[in-house]
Amino acid sequence: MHKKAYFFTLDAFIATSVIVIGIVLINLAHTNKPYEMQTAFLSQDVIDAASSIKVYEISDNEYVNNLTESGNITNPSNTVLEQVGEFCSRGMNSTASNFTEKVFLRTIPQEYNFQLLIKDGNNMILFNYTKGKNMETSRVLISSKNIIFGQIDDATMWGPYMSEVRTWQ
Amino acid sequence: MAIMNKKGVFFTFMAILVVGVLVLAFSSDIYVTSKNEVPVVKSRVKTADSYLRNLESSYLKRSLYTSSYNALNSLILYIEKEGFLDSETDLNAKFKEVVLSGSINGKNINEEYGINLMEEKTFIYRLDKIEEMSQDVLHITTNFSKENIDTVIFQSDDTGSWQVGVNLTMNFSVDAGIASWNKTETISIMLSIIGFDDPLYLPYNHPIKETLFNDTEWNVSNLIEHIENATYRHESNESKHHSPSYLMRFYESYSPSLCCGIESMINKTLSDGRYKSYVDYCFWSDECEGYGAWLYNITGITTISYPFKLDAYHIAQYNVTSEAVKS
Repeated sequence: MHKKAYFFTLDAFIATSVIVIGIVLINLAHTNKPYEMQTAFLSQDVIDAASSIKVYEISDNEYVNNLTESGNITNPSNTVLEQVGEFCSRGMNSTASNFTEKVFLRTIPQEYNFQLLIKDGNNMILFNYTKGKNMETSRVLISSKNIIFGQIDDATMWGPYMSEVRTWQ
Repeated sequence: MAIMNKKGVFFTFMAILVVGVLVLAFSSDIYVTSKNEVPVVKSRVKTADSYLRNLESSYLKRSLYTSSYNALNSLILYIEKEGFLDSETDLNAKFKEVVLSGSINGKNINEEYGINLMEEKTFIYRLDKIEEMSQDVLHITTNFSKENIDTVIFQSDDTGSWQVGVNLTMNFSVDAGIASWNKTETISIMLSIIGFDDPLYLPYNHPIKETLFNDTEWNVSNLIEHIENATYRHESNESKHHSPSYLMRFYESYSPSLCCGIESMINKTLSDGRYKSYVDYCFWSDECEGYGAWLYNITGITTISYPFKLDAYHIAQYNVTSEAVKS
């Protein structure tokens, strides 16, 4: 009789431990969700915005205005990503890099890091803006991709290139 | 003893309850997983839809525009080397071949005629590139039915005299795994002819430029400017004596085009002293024979070295009747 009670007590003890461990695990899983989602939203939002905002709409950016006035931006109706792609197609990689930095960095929250890749076949052009943690050591890295292309003049079209935005914390 | 037995049952129920809670806890994980898939599916469909819209509204149009622009210039170079095309049907057939694959009669125009404007600029090349890119980047399978593409190049009331229209119809499918689309699409673009060479003037370069003057402003001084600037005029009246359209010049047709006729004046370089009206299509054809029995010199324009003449119809059109002298 004594032995039976002892077994039941031990059983209840084990069951309680399992419940506690279960609750802890569930709580840990829940705290991770918003962390991933915010980074994912940021990555998608950046590529969506860059694919829809026209260059002429960024009227408060002195660097962009200078590029327009100097004739380096020939079509202000290009979207931001199209403009980066066009600079790359014209071999103006440093201008593309500066343009990306001036336009994007103001909109990326401080705690996030950001990388833009433009890929034409095997040729990869990379714009990297790491403020803190390296991409390799980050817990969450989210990538959003898009296809970009454009027209330089009546006879010439550039692209399609792959554009990829990577964000991480 | 009875109480002890009841306690045993109580503990057993407790154990079953614990197992139940654990099962529920794990099964809720499955629920969470499938719930998380909903935004992924949504995002995937959104990406595919956005790609399709971009493809239809921008990529295909731009591809057709640039390919057509280069194809039209290629045909001008082809005419310079091989002579005029046979007819409107021939123009459409050759344009289709050049714009789609950069060839004429199955032969690559770069290899056969040294015309390299279509290198990596054909419409089929553009389709191949986007098929490859959509698969690599978005994992979306795009298939264009390249064997069944129809194109037509035309001028009409819709294009007017200073533009040409190109319509291209094709079937294609987009498969994103969780959603797919099968479409038959007609892509329409319009190209300005300003700046393209006039085939009738070949081998001389004579780019199309629109005159600054409308039909109520003609007089002898404006006509002189029109000749010197080598500009073209579109006749805005509804007379039957219209000039040929730009596209008709590709197959050397001098018949009138009511919607789209354009005409220029033969300048000093091309003047060879022949007894003809100096309106371009009249000069190179007998199309204006019925425009009056006489030709007229124009005071202020006609000289010994430049024996410029106009027929009775065009004297009235250019408002130079008072300067006209029977030749």
